[in-house]
Amino acid sequence: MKLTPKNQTAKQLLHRAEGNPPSTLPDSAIANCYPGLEFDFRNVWRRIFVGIVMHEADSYVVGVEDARYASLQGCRILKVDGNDMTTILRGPRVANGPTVELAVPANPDAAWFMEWSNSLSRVLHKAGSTVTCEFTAQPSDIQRRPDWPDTQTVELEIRRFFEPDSPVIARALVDPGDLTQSLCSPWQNDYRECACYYWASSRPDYVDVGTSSKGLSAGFNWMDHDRSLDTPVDERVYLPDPRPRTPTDPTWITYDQLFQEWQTVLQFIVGGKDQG
Amino acid sequence: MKAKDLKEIRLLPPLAISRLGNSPEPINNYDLVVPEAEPLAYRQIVPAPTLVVDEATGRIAAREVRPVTFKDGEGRIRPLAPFLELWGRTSDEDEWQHLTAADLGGSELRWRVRVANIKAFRRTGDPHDRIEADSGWFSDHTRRELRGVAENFLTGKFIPFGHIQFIDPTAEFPHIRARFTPAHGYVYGSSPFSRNANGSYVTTSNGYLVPDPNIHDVVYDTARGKWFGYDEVLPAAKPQPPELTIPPQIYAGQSGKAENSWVSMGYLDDECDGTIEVALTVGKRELATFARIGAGPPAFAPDSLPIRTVYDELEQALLGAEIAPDDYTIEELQQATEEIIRRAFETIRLMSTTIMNGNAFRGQVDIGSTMVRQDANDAARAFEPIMAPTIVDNLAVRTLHQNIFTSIKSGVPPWFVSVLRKFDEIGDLTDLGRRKMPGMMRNADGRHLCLTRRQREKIRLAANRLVLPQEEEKSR
Amino acid sequence: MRSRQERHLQSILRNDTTPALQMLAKTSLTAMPFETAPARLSAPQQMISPEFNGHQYAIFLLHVDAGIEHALMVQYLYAAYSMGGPHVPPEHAATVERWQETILGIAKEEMGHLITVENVLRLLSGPLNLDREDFPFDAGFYPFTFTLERLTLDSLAKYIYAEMPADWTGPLATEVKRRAEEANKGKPLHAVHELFDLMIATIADPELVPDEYFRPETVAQQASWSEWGRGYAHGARGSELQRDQPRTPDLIIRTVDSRATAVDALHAIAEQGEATTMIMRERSHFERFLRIYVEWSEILKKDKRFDPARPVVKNPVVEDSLRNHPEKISDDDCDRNVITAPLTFYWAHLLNIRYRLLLSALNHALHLSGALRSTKQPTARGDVLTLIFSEMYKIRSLAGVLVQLPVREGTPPEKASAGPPFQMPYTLAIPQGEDDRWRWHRDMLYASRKILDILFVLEPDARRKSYAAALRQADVELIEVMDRLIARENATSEKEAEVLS
Repeated sequence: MKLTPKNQTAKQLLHRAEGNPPSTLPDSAIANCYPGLEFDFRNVWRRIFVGIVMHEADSYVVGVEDARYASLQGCRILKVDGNDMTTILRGPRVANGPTVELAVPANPDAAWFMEWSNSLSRVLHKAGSTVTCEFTAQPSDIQRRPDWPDTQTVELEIRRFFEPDSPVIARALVDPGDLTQSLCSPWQNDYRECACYYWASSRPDYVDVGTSSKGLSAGFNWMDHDRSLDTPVDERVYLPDPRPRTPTDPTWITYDQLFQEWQTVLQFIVGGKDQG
Repeated sequence: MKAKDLKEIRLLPPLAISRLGNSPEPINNYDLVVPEAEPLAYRQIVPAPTLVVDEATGRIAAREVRPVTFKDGEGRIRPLAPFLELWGRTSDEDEWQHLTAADLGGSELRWRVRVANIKAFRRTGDPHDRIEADSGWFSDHTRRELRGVAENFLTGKFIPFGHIQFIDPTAEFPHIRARFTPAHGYVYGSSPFSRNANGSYVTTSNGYLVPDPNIHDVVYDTARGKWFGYDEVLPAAKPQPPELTIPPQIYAGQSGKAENSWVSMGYLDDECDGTIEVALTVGKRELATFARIGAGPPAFAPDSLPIRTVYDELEQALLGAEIAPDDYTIEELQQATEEIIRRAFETIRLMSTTIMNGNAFRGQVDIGSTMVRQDANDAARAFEPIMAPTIVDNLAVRTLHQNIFTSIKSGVPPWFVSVLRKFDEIGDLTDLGRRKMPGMMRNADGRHLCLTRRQREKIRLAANRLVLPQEEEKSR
Repeated sequence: MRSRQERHLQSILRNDTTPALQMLAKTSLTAMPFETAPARLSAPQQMISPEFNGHQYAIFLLHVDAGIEHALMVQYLYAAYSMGGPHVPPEHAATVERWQETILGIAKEEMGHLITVENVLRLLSGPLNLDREDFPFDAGFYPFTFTLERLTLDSLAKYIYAEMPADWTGPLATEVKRRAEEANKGKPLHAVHELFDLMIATIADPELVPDEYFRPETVAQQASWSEWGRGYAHGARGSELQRDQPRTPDLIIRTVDSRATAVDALHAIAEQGEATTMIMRERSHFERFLRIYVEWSEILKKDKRFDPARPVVKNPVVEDSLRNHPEKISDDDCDRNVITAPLTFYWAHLLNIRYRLLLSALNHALHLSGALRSTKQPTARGDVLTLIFSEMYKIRSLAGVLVQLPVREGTPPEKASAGPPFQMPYTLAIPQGEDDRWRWHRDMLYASRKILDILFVLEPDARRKSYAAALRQADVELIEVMDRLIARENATSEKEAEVLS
């Protein structure tokens, strides 16, 4: 690798300070996925346009800091530098049915906002200069399709992501508290059921897994109290979490337990197994 | 090196992650190592030299290899407490060195930490709900508690966000560093007794109040702030109010009077994020820098890593989504590809793939919170499993990914670039679209997970350049 | 085997049909009163061997076609794996890469064709066929002499010939056809469409194959796109290394439940090969091969020495022991080249084992029995399918290793390198019981294990050594699964034995 100043800077992001375990590094932290665990990293994008504040996960203008942009309050961003910020949901309504636009009452346009991080990677190099941004002309509670006709166009400055020549996220982009603000309060709150497992590696789901005599995996739900490595593999069953229907079922670690004694009830999983 | 020659100082790492725990003993240092003869095995947790801090003096007492456990002898979780090192350079060249006390002779060094938890403010919009801690500037080696306070707190109450300590350099450990130790991981609240959604107290049949067992301390003043009782109402068949978090209603609460309401119980936690600043005065010159820190829950599977990480976001923001021809060698691209696939099977290994795929469980359908359910809920897409139900057992999916990993190890160019979902393909909820990779997981936008463009580009380039290795040699 | 098939294919091979056969065919097939028979017989009816009825003949043609699809796939794979290498000039690097992706894509589609043809065989209650001729051998009814060879303009011309539509004419057609004929040493060539025309006409004809022969209940036993497509469809796979590469067509894996769907599936396969319509043309094998041919010819005008392929030998084989006195390397289509470099010898045997394992897993998947037929929930069926895909990945990797290794000691790979031998196993049959089938697969892993142990020690290259370690570990995990499955089957059959006694 040729050591350009920039990729040298990138390497500093992975600098292991003496004595620091690898889990202190950002490559152990869940990213711009759904609200992660360490951060809801989507918050880095709220102030990416100088003068307005965006929703961390949506096309919605939540605040205006520069009066010139007052007309953007509550509007939806549709295009940045010519790139669509939303897409259309398409798929079958019924199994094996034709592919159609998937509009629903809450989303009559079938439009869906695409994540900031990948979308804006196309314009971040223009930080410090302005780009043309297209918004809905009117405030909108509804997501709008990229070709929405009634629009307003403004030139907005892209804020610098990092401090100059540095790998530190810029002061002006993120205030203390911003990166964790949209996580659960307390963090345990969605811990049981938020099962869209981009985060299995830090919040395991399927543990003590062995190979059953059916040639299939067999293991337990991490939230299942009644699990033991002494259970023969063939008898291990992953029980899907029944919450919210039976939130106090004693089979499961309850929310009260997660609030009070998570340190006791949650077990570390090493090598896929409960660490004894 | 002399302090007066310093051109720039920097705190490393630029973003340090700490993890909550109530043990007084932090996690000892370790390395994650893939065994050479078993490339598919779990990463081994191999103890590495730990810096043992004497909290009373702020000095490093020892550097030794200690056994690694994540809970202490009393069952308490060990916090992850990172060091941040002060580095400097004396020229424009990228020659950074970790500064020592001797390097800084004659200069004055000050630190300041500002961290906050604004989860309540994010919902209520009341600035008095911001919980902030500020150490103020300091130069000594006392271990300082970071007390999170808010206008809406009861007088004298605070949430401990952990500690900061400027490590006292010694002859044996002369380097400049500070250590951040996160909080214990307690829940704080607004009322010593359990209350109903309407604010009334829960009582026993004979009229006694019921203490709220979840609360470590009552800090929030319900007379001043609105966090207790805060309600996010989601009208049926309408878009969610646009200012709410996505997903909404992710705070401890209970159903209220209105349909689809969720009334806050006023709970707070001791997570935080913020900055650690350094100012160095050399004569009349001042050099300053800062790094960021965050406190999150432990990584409960410490030998496995996620597919798309905060590092990947930062790298893409820093270097762009496109990769310049001499950014990486082939070997580096191959390793990057291997690492992504390894993380994929590390994630799969810990994930109930049959449930996540939307398979029926004992005859019941829609049994878990899955992407299948999300697609049906958000878009009324037909509820059906993502992949054929027969092929998604964890063992089969894992084996398949391990075999892809193995193939990449052989030096074969990655052939699967086109099945890696692009970020602008998230609207494609057809069978084919949903079967792209990474599968069965959720993306920042609520649809199916994508890699960063740069991650994907690394794989594409690995494929590209492996076919014709001479391109590589010529570019060197 | 070849002669056993050829004798029933005289019509294609010689294009002569006697009236006597017509009569016989007609009466034996339909058992209709002689006088009600139509005056003019349809084409396939004229061609049916006296020893078949229509249903049998349809199965026979499908059987032959399965062998051809398999043979084409292997030859295309070999050609694709041969491409690239350090000698390709950088300005053509991207082009060669695109060609390689194109040919790999076509090979995968041939695999899809093979699977779909097996589905049609299943629908018609025929025996499935994963066999093909071993090499080298003369064409007969195959499109061209089966040869594993590096991609050259000559070999490319043969591929184009095999996939060409019936009405292809013009100067380019003349050139390519002539080149193909010369490359095939003057032996007759056949376009695949000849067989398809016959096959489709036969199956489409209710007199030849009456309705009751189509068994829709076999769909559950057929290979479906959901299980086999793995997202490789609708132009997605492998075509993206070049951003401007047009999307390649669908991977055709169709389940069939009626005459109409079967005919439709066969039409789709034929279309994908030769493209009879303009819309499909861009995406046909014929057109994609032809584009490479044209681009290649253009490059040659400026750079006479341009060669997109490594010096991979023709028809490599490994013997059970290493020869002391290696023969000269031969460039004759009909010769084999024995691999005698020791390291290459082991990697080549490994590839042969994995190819055998792939074929037996494929056979297993197409003959699942009992609970494994369920399409509702994971069973060991998933293990079989995973095995197939895993072995395909391995074959790709092993081929990638082999093309960089010498075929014989003393000749560097830059002069003559090995390639994947793809030697056919002595049998394609698999045992009857599920447990015995797992034992069968497991034996191959044990054989593999011995070679991997040797390679882990012998291999001097760090990456290949690490690959051998990963393969070995993957096999250990696979053996563990198979042990479990065998133990269970044993327990089940013991129980059954108890009940019976």
